[in-house]
Amino acid sequence: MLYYFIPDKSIFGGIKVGFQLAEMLNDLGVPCVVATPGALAPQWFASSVPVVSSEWAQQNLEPHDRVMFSLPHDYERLSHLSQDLIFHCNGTDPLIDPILADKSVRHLSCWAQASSYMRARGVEPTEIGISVSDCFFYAGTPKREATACYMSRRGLDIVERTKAENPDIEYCAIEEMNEQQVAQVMQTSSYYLATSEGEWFGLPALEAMAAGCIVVSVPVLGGMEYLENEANCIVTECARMPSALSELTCPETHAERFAMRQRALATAYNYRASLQKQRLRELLRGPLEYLH
Amino acid sequence: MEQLQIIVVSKGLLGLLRTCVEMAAHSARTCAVETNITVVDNSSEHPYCETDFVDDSLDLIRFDTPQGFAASCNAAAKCSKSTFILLLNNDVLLLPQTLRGMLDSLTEERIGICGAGLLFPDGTIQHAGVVFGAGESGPYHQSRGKIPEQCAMSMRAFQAVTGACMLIRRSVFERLGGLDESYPFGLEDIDFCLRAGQHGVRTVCFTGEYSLHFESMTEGRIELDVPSREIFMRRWGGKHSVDGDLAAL
Repeated sequence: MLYYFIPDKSIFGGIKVGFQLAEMLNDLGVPCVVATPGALAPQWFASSVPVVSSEWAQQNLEPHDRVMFSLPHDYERLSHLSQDLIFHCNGTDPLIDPILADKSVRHLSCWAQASSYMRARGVEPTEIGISVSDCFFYAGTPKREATACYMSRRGLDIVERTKAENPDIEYCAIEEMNEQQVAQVMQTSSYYLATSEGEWFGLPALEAMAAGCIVVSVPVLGGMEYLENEANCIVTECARMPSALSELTCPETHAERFAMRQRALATAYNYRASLQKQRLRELLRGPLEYLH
Repeated sequence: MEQLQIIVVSKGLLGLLRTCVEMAAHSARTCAVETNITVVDNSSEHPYCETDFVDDSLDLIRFDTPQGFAASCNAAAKCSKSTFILLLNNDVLLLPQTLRGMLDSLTEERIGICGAGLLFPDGTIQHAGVVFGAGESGPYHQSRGKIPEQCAMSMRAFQAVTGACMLIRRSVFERLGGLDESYPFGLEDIDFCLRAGQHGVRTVCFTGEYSLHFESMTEGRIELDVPSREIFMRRWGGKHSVDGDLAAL
């Protein structure tokens, strides 16, 4: 059995990514449960993965069980265990360096930049990919042409400046929403402002692309593997986001916006869960065979 | 040859029970398993007797005082060493291919539980797998009341299926100590599936053929739902994944 330890049930991308991986592994024949404090399960995205309490799991681990985790803080709690430890890297905070230095840990990465970061520290990870939940993919819901949505957790000052310079646009803050609600907002909006500087991957921006939004993003790290400036999105420095949105939304660029939206959707299709599952299926016949 | 024990817990409703047992036996004849049926008479006013049934190999257990569903099933399960156990309500009428489809669904050792697609007499879905909503909504039947042809069904895994017609590997049943008898009547089946999932056991639902389920035909049965639900929510509230309606945040 594989136990995927997660620190809590909060609205944080890494939590969802962990459950998504656990779900796929279960579907592919690798028994996997998620262990959380008190067995409390997230309520903000869809999953059918069994949940156990991390306290119970730690007490009942058997020698052949495996332990997976993604957050560096969990490494401190779990590193004493005798079971195989597997690090599912979905962020390249330097806090992960001690994990990468631990030769007994196996390493998975979710995207190319994370793999590069790990290689630079002497670790050759298995890149398993990342995916967008199916509920985000655009299916023809009428869009409000002059509506931009954004997440206000980081970069709110950028949003405020953008609002001030583009008063004709309607803005929709995505706050404390479940995944279906987020998908609905994105599917009815035309633009998504990705304002979190230095984001590792920026799954919400990719979800917005899947939902048919044109993304206007500040530079990020791992997310540059799907963000192609002026092809499927606009990548701009923070200070230029207000003017970038103005230029993007002017009437003359209608055809370009249409093409950009189509390309964004096409990009997001490369991150469908079914494709990641196919990739995992192949990896389970090779480098991930140990999970069986 | 592998063996299957079919457990039917029943109170009164002899005519319905006879039909249930006969149709289950007929469905079992399409399978490559040796089948034995155990009827638990859960304190019927007029006790069943063996001559009430066509199948003279049928086992009959009688409780003179009413027992919970879990206690009844657990007691019956002890009467056999079969490889598989089918929990079957007395108001479920199995179609000929259902049992075979369920057994065939246990393709891998780790698939330990299989439910069945069930229809109400009006042709709408009674059960096609159980999903879980966020917060207080808890478990509910997916696609209930819908027409099967209008629902996209896939052979997906569920966190739970109904115990009205639930095929279980005996090894799983015994590992978990059977159904939890602290439930008065209801939701012990869902509890069982969730506990099984925590041990890496997978639950699926066969919807290749829909059998018939009248649902809650036994008098006094529904009143026991409330205390069962209280126990369930106390134990599992917030502690299952949400694959139904998400929390309205």
